[in-house]
Amino acid sequence: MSAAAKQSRSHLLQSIAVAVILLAVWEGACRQFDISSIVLPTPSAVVARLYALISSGMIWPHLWATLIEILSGFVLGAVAGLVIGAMISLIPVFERLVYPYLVALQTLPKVAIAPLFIIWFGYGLTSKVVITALVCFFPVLVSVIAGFHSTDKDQLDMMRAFGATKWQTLLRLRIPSALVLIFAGFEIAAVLAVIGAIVGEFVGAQVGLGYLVVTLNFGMDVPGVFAVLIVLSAIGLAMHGLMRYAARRYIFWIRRNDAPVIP
Amino acid sequence: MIALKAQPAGDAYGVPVPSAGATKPAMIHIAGLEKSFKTRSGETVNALTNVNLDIRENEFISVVGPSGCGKTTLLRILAGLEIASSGVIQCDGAQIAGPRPDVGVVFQQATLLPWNTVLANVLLPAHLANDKSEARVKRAEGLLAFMGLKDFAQKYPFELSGGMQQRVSICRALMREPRILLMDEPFGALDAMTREAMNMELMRVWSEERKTVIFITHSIPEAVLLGDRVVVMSPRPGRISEIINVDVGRPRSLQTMATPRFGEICDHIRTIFGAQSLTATSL
Ligand SMILES: Nc1ncnc2c1ncn2[C@@H]1O[C@H](COP(=O)(O)OP(=O)(O)OP(=O)(O)O)[C@@H](O)[C@H]1O
Ligand SMILES: [Mg+2]
Repeated sequence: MSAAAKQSRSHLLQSIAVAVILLAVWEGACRQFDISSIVLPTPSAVVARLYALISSGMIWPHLWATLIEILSGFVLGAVAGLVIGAMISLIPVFERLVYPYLVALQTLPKVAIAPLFIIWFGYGLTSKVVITALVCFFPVLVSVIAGFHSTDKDQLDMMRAFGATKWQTLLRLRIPSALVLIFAGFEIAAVLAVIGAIVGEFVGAQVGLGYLVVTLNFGMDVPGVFAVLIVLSAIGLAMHGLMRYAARRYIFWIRRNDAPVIP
Repeated sequence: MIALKAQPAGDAYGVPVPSAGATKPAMIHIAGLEKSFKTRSGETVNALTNVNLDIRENEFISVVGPSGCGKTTLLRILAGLEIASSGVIQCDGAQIAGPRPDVGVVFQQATLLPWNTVLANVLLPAHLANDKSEARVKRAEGLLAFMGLKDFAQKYPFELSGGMQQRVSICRALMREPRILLMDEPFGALDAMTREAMNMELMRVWSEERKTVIFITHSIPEAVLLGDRVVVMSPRPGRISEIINVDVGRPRSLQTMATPRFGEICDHIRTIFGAQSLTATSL
């Protein structure tokens, strides 16, 4: 095992130790001070509830619904952000005509328009997908525009000096340069996608993890709420990890300090 | 062969060399060249005023001058990246109006594409000309081998040192067998030892593939070591203050730098700079 791997392994052990201590303190405090599980459930109760939700099969339909909303919303929003961002960056007329409206739309809190989408697209998956897509759209849009503006001027001159056409410059220089910021936008959008789907489900849904949280909360099943929150943060982490993996793979030339979180 | 190359008959240094020999017209002809920029605050900066220079085919021209005297501007106009405000700047009798395929440029930064391998970077000019032939790959590999980078063809630029990256960018500039090579302080970021090694390599390239070179540098010994002539520029406004004939035989080596004649020429250039800074302070 290399020195670096050894070190990151000992770092992992340290963070696990911290987590174990925190959970033990939490568990101990709840029992010691006899805190009601409606206020703050013990970690063991949360784990037990999570296990029950999974083994009873109750969680699966909700998990599937939310995952579909997150993934299709993310893909839709990212593709729209890429296409419109590229058009704004590359077609000057488009920037003048469309960009001001998009900025105005961006300043709107998306949560506030969520009820409208429920009216327009119904209680089914569609409304949640649209809300998620809208939430993902803006970070990608902004990162695409910033990405296209980030092309190095010296490299532009270099391409011109070696006789590159506009298209060649676009394909060989501008797009690869923009990728760095675009992936940063994807990373933000991936995390926002989870929020978008849950917010949509809070506002109106018949299925999904957000709907489940509302229902369990209504039934004062606080350990159940905690259990779903664990699932949600696992989804968020997985989305983020996926994006980091993709970024490391596709923009390999960026050397950033990424000591592995999980070796 | 190189040693036999006729040196232009002994002009005393310090006397501007008259433009190219009467027999052959100059390859590059610059007369009354002016370039001014509008700054953002609306003022006009005269980057170059009244620049006159004739460059013969296969001549190695070094350009020295203090920072901001317009060296890069001159090179960018020669590369067709910038358009002169007025004056004549011709190559083979035609005004330079844009980048030309027979010109290779080495920029101050290596400006390699980080997502491409070293080989792909060297091949870029060929790819841009839609030439994907095997012969081009052979040439790129040959150039890399010549520059001592044989084993790095499949590496990425970030896996190379600064000096290696600059060598790759020289290979790239040589890819399409340019007749004219423009170099803007290509070794500026290198340490003295690597720099001397690079100077030797550049002379080796130049002796293998004869071409017209315009080489900008901050280093007076480097300019004298490499150049047939040294163009000395002065700032505010940017102009040529003197063109010095380097009457030191070839092939030259690092030992050449120890000869008295070499030292005299360097001293002379330093005197010009000294006089410049005196007038600057007295202003
Ligand atoms: N695009 C531009 N807009 C405005 N002024 C410019 C521009 N490019 C160059 N200049 C001005 O022209 C002058 C000459 O610049 P140039 O880059 O040619 O200098 P240089 O001799 O290459 O300097 P250095 O040795 O520091 O590289 C400078 O005063 C600079 O401020
Ligand atoms: Mg310069």
